[in-house]
Amino acid sequence: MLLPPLLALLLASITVLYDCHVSIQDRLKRVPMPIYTSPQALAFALACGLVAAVAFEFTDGRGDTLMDSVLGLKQANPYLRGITVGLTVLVLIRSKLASIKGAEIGGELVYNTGRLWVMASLNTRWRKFKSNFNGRNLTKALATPDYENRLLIELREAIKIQPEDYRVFVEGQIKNVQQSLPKSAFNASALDWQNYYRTITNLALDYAGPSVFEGWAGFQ
Amino acid sequence: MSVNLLELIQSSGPIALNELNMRSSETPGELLLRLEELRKRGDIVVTGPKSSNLMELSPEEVSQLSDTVVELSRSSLKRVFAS
Repeated sequence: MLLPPLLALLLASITVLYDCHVSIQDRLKRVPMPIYTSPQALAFALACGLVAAVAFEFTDGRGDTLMDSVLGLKQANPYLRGITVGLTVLVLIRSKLASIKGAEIGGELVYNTGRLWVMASLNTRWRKFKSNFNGRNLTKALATPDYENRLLIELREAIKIQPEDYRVFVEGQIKNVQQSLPKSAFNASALDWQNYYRTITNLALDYAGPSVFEGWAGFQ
Repeated sequence: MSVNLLELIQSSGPIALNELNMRSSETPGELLLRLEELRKRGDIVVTGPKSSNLMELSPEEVSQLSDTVVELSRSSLKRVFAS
């Protein structure tokens, strides 16, 4: 039967993508961009999914082997076993096969290296996304009345569900940026005003994500 | 208002020096000192024009350099995910 190992592959891939997604939010303190748009993330998730599909082939539902007991939870039904293997395969992948003076080797090392590769690629993509966003919308932003206040209201609204230290961290940056408000009269073609608008736009994108601009007429 | 510089670089991803200057709580001089210190520790990587001699930059240059980019080093990123 092809479906049970496919279930294991699919669910393991989704679990890995979710783990990477949550890591960005928790560790980097940033709103994650859609992770499935990154080829590196998809390749990494698929590789882990393949491990799950192979691991499934070592289970038979009788509970005779360690793999069957730990990953397959002794499930006799192959479909349910495919699901459990898919959902629990990270236990196998991230198992520390050995440890030398606290250094990770084995599956944990491979998994962390893969995740790091995904994170580094997402960082690069995030900068490119923000740069393209500003390229498309900076002129519109500079022409929008009360842009700064409106954007900051939306940003504060978006982060109000976040923990206090997160909100204080973002608020601190807002205050710092506002202290750099150009002293010259507003001029949309002046470099300092363009930098100022670009900075508050990036700030909002980092902590509230692109959805902060939903409903803004003319913004792409 | 005080903002942890490393956390800022961590959360923003690669960031232009002029933008980092606006978002951080340090003065341009303090910012360059901190960046040099973090670079020596291997926490960050600075790329782009004038990235090799940060300490020679004037405050005006710090507020204008948009092609000089600061980002977490791979080892620092690894530490973030290992912690």
